[in-house]
Order: sequence, then structure tokens, then C-alpha cells
Amino acid sequence: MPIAADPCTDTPLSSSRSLGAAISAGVGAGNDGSALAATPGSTARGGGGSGSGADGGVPSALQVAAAGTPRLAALQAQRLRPEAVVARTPLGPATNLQDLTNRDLGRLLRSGTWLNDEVINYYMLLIRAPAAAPSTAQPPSTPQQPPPQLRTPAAAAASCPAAASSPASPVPPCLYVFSSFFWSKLTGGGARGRFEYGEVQRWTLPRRSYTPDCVLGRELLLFPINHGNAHWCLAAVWPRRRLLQYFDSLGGSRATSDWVLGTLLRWLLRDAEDKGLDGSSCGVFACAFAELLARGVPAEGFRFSQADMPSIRRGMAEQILRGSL
Amino acid sequence: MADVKAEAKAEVINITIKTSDGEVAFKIKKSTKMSKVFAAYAQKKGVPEGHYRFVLDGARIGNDVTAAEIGLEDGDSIDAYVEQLGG
Repeated sequence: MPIAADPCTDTPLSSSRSLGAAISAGVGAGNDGSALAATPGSTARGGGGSGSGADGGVPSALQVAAAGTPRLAALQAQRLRPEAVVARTPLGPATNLQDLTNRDLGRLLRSGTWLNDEVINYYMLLIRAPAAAPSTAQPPSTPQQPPPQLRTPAAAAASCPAAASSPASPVPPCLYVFSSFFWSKLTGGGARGRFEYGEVQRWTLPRRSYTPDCVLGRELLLFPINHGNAHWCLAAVWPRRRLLQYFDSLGGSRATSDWVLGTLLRWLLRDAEDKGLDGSSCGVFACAFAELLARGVPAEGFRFSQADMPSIRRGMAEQILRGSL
Repeated sequence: MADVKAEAKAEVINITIKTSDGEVAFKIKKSTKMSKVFAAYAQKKGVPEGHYRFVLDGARIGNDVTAAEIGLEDGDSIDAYVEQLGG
């Protein structure tokens, strides 16, 4: 059942429900927080994404951290008030500025601190901004996209032609990232039995997503999912590949992920807090997963682990401050 | 023609701000900065400004944007969310 050219014309998200039967579930299984497995036999990229070179499986934040974090150092030297805005980027209209405060950025900089929606959603804006053309040291191979401008994500994101990425090309997938509030809205605040389609029906209207196209036509949809106000995960939906993936840095259960992915639209109810590893970096993991997927790296190619968390945190902070990945 | 002029003046719209426990109605001009609405809402709820994140059909609304700029129309509903935390 191919997705219609413009799925927004009738029931946008319900399309992912009807995909349910054909969907393969991928479950993150990193007990030690290392590379997360996914989608047995279902990764549709067919190796295309794995061609992103030796660094393909490593979040760009690692490289950024290794190369130095001057903006971060400068910021920290300033000793700003917690409510000071340290990063700002427009979403849609140029005047619709999304702010990140010093307080929220600070969550990245203290190991052991949980991330909140502000950091997650801001990082997601970076991911969807330059159509995922990395601006880091050695970008895999995407010269077709101009280097991302500082603080112009929305405009760049708007120019993501649905047909831009053919399955065989090494180009990062044409993607859209939903805000972390999507899942919460859809599930009526995280209640398992609830399915509030009407609440999110309008979220994929182009005039609401500030995109020229309906985002459902894109290759990859990413959903940061907040679990019980205690845990961050990431769901990835590849509509045309009929593939849904779920990435949980604490493992999670297959039964639960099957259920979440089969409907895509149910709230994950599984407290993974006592799974025993660093229970505070799931938001960082989720951002790193998203960033890698955005670069077209298949999940099997992820190569980072718990040990990288402090560096990734610093790197992400730097990326946020400079306004690009 | 007359319509265009009237519109340009100051179109007033009715909107609501919604949380899981109810909604509050506002009558605003399209030229109103959303920060004013948000401040009024926070005051009504008895919480500090910045407590809520205001989202219009998935898109976070900044403080300095006007209702017209984000395409708010009569009858539209804005969602107010509180902080999400997770490790």
C-alpha cells in the first residue's frame, strides 16, 4: 500500500496505522548503552546510508567536542543568568523565534542531569534545519546542499522536495521532526488506552508545519518521545519503506515496542529507569540517534556508547550555540 | 475592497488556550504580540511566565510573534504544555 503522493489530503496520520501490519519493529537493545540494534532485516537503506564513511556511526557532537568548543567556553565565562537566552532560531515566520535559555542549555553541561523538552526540541530544530547536511569537520558527501547558515533552519527545512532523495542515493533522507509534544498530545498525556487523533490532525498541515509540502510525504519522520516525564526515546517512521523504528537507550521490551510501533500512536508505558545504566542521558541518546538517522546512518552503524555521553553533551551544547550541527 | 480595509485595521479573533484540564478563551487582535496573551494566561493560572510552552498545531509559538504572523484565525486553539523531563 504505497503512501499517496499527498497524504495530507485525507487522513494524515492514520496512514501509519494502516501500515501497521507491514511494519517491522526495531527495538533498541543496548544494555550497556552502546550501539543500538534495530529492525531485523528491514533496514531499507540497503547499505546506502552506511556509505557515510568511517565516522558514519558516530554522532557529530563527538567530533565537535573533539575539535573544541569555543562558543561554549565563551558562554560559560560570561556567567549569564539562568533565564538569559543563549540560542535563538526562527521557526516558520522570521519573527517566530524559538529561544533556549542558559538554564536549559545547562542541563546538557551537567552530567547526570536529565534533559528537558526545550533542549530536545531545540536540537531537533537543528536536525531538521539544513536538511541534515552536516556542517562538521568531514561531512560524508552532500555537496548539493549549501553549508547551513547560522540560524536559518526553518527556511532551509522548507526546501525539502519530497523526491530529493532516491533510495539508492547517499543523500541524507528528506525528513521532518515532530516536537516532543506530539506523542503526549496523541496519547492524551501518555495514557495507554487513549488515541486522540483529532488532537494532532492538524499538525501535518503545511501551513502548520511551515513547510511547502506535507511532511508525511517525506522519507523519514522523527518523533522524540517523552516517557512518563522520566525518559526520552526516539521513534523513526519511514512511511514509504513501511518501516518504523523505536530507539530506547535503556532497552525496553519487545512487546511494548511492537505495540508502540504497530500503532505508532500509543504511548510507551514502560519505566526503564531501573534498568541500571546512566538513567540520565536518554535525552542525549535520543538526540544522537536522531542526528545520525538524519544523516542517513542506518541504525546498525551507530557507534557510540555510554562513555561518550559527557563529550556528546558538550558537543551538542556547542552545536546549539553555533546554530548548526 | 471594503473588506480588505476592515481587515487591515484590526481584526479581532477569538482563540482558546488549552491544557489537559480545561481551556481559557481570549479575544485578541491579530496584531497582538503573543507574549501578551501568554502573560495573561500565566497570570490567570497563577504561574510564572515561562512555565508553559505554547504550541499551535505542533509549532512552538515564540513570544515576539503576532497572532497574524503565525496565521492564527478565529476559533483556533493553542496548546499549553508544561516541561517534559527525562533521563
